[in-house]
Amino acid sequence: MTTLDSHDKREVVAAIADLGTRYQPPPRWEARVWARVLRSELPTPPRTSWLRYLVPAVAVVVVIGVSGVLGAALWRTHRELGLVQTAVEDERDEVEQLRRDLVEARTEARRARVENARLHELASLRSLECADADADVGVGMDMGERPRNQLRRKSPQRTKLRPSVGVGCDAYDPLCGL
Amino acid sequence: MSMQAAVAVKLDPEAEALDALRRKDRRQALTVLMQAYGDDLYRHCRHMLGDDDLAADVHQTVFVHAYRDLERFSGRSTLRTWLYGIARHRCLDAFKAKRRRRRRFVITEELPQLADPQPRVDQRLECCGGAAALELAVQKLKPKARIAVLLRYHDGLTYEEMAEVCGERAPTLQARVARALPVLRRSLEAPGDPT
Repeated sequence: MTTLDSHDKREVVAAIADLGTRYQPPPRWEARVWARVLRSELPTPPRTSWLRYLVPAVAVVVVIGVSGVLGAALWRTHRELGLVQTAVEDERDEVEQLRRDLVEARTEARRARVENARLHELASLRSLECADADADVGVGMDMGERPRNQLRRKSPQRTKLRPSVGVGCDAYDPLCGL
Repeated sequence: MSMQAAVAVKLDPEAEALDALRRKDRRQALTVLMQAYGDDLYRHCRHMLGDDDLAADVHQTVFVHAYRDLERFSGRSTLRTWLYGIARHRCLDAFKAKRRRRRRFVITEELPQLADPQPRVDQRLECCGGAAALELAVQKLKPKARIAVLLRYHDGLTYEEMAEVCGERAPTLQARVARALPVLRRSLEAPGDPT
């Protein structure tokens, strides 16, 4: 056994060389090496590829994209249908309003006609009263007192009966209606 | 081939392993290498790492990696030197892993001061003639210096072979060994616990 008393370089070197005899590898270490070798030669499962995560990610993105496009199209269609519906309803309201206006106008016209008829009737009655009161006054119509020379010049066919207006009196008769 | 030549081939593990490699028989080559260099490589790993379990694990890993890479062995060095190169890399990997572990796991509580179950240094010196003290002094060297000293004096490699193992120039390694020896001597001369 090398001593280290002198601590000489040569002795240190020899002591280092002697260190090797102190340790022995564990028993059956060769069998353990072979076991590890065989284990390393076993087929290993394929390493997890990034494609394994890429494919589901792409699928999710595609599904979300298609859903979004379809949703947008549906929303746009729905909105356009709503606009058409609104336009139809507006038009229907307008037509209804026009119909009501027409009915009102007709009613108004009817009322005006009735009023007119009543006024005519009233005028007729007044004319009759005027005829009773003064025999000289024409009833409702006159021949038109025009100068004789004008009458002469015109043909008899052109001489028309002029209906009396207003209260049914002759406009040329200043006493009519008095 | 004569009988003597056959015996010579049989006794030379390098030639036998290379012959097995030429026959594409990696298993036979590894068997020869394990029988020839297994013990030396284990001691080398043990002195490098200072831990039996870690040394056994690295020692096995060296041969597993050797088996994996035997087909790519180009013959630029001897198989022994090649194996020591693998062992050096695996030992440095183990050092790095140990450093990482120490950085990651910080001891927050003060551990109680327990007596070292191993015999004291003076006892070791008495019983083992200073070998244990020398081993402790070798463990105190930096990894690169430790590798150089062990390869040179424990494993008996020449500086040229060490240069192949370490990938450095032979004079560099020679200077490293020369600087390490006085450090070892001072560690051994220092009074008290060398650890």
